[in-house]
Amino acid sequence: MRKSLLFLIIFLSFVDNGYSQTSYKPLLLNKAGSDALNELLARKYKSLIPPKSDIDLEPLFKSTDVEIKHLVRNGDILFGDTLSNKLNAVAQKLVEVRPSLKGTFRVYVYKTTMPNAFTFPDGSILVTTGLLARLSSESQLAFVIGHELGHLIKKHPEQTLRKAKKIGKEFNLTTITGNSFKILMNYSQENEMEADAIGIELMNSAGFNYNEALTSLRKILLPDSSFKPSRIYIKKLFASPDFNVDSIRKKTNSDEENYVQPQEDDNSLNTHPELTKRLIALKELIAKLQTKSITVKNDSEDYVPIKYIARMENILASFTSGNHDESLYLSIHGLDLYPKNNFLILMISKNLLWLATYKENDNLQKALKENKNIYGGNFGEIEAFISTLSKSDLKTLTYSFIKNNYNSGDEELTFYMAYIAEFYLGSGISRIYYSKYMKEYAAGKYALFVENKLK
Amino acid sequence: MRKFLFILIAFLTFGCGGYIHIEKQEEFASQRSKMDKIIVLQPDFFVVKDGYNYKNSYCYKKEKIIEKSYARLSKRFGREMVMSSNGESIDPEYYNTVMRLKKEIMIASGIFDYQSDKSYEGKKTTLPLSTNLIISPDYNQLQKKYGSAYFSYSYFIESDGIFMLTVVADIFQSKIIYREAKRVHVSAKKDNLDRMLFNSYYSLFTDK
Repeated sequence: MRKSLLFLIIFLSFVDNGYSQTSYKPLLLNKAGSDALNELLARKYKSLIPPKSDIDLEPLFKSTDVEIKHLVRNGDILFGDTLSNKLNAVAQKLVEVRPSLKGTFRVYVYKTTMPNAFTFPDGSILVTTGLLARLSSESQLAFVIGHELGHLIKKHPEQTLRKAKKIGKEFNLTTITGNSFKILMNYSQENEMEADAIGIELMNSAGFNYNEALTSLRKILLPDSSFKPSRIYIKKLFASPDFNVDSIRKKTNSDEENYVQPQEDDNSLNTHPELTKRLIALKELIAKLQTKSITVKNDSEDYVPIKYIARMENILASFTSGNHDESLYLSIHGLDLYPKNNFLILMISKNLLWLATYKENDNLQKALKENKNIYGGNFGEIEAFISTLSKSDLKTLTYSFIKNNYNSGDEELTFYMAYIAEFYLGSGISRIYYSKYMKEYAAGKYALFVENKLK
Repeated sequence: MRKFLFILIAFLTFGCGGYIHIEKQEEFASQRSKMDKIIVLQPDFFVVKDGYNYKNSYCYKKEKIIEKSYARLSKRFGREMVMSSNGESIDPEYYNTVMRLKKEIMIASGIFDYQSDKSYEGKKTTLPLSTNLIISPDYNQLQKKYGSAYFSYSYFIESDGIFMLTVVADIFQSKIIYREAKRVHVSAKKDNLDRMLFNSYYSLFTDK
């Protein structure tokens, strides 16, 4: 019986890894999230999952740091969900050989597209979804967490914050002492290299593939070059009898100044010393480790659900920050990777709708992301495409896209379908849809009503 | 007393420069009578200072002062004004749903750049909402838990006086129904914040 159960579990873990790439439900705090991650946690980290009583925000609530308080209060920090549990399990594995560190830190997921990680003096480590989406193996993640633990072990956050406070007082720059994030993004090169060394050491003793540290570092510090939704793909995505993509593309292509060329670094990434110096130092450390000839296995497969979740959470994070061009770009890129994903179709629709609303009010610039350089692909191309469209073209494009995709059975998408129909067709229709919506949506008849109306 | 306060704040507003700009949906008058209970989302208070390579900073203490003001306003207006959470307890639904709603309201309310629009200066204007500002339909579920479809949110920016934006969303209709933007050239003292809040909700509830 046990044997057959074991076979069944193994079979299931190979046949169905527990998550679908055709939809996505946002991670919920204190609740189970992804089945795939649950399965992975149970399989690999059972003994390392923190007890439920530990999964709370007490340390963060007690934090005197105003910035952290705001992140928590605004729901930007995940806790008690499968993704946070997973990160904590990796962290626990890293410190298994250093029992004195246990219970001195806690890893949280910070929902933002900015690729970074922060460690606070109280042991709170925040890893952003932007960073998680860039990585591609568990070992790369282990390096990130190991590096942050290195900062904590060496008390870098405490020293750096104290130093900044002192300077702030000295020059009466009260605003500088207020933002610990800015301060903690400015460690000295020496601090960073010390943390790298500890990260590698922890990875080695926990059996992670320390060679992945080099890739991890490159991914943290360089723009993400994996973003390349092609022009052909964009044309295909927005193809519709209602809308002529070709005419717009010609305009967009000629508008070269709107293009943002990939750059080596940007403001959000200038927190680390020059990449090359750190890479050389890391290579030297790894060369010393390799003499011990430890066998390490490839763990990129285990990272697949984490990457998927991080990508989807990034789309939500940029949407809720009002960065609709970024959220649209990430959704389009996502749909290229995960075709027919209902969540992505919904997010493209919502973002197009908001961009069209901004454009309608002559305020599109407000919805465009200021810092574009974290993407090394063709972010500028998507942005130029949206910027070049006239108000009416953008409305038509939005209407066409939602109309072409709304029969997915998603009730929320149907709501947007009705809304864009009003927006596109005029205010007369608006009243009809809204009054019907008010009366019938609760009973679930609204979707049917809109479908019939639009046929 | 109320009238006096209103006159006082009007004096402070226009006497020292500034503006009040109100937009509401056309059927707002009929909705006003139904607003026995408003769920108040956690206010935000930003301090904006340039020059030190650092722009925004939150002021937690001021936010706490504003939160307390709501309780007093509730008594003054005889309407229930309930904070959605005290911000210190761990209510998963609050973080999973209410905070998303707050962010969507912020997006919907941020579509106009009131701050840099000089045409409002020195005036009080009231207009119908020109743009339909929608929020996701899945917040309908919150109505049952909180006992009201009306959620309000205010944020303050301290920079050359105080800029305040108050937004009311109707989660049953899934849209923004009321917005008030104002700038008052006063300091961010407790009494001034109290007056600004009172003035905003006085306009919301009485159309004056």
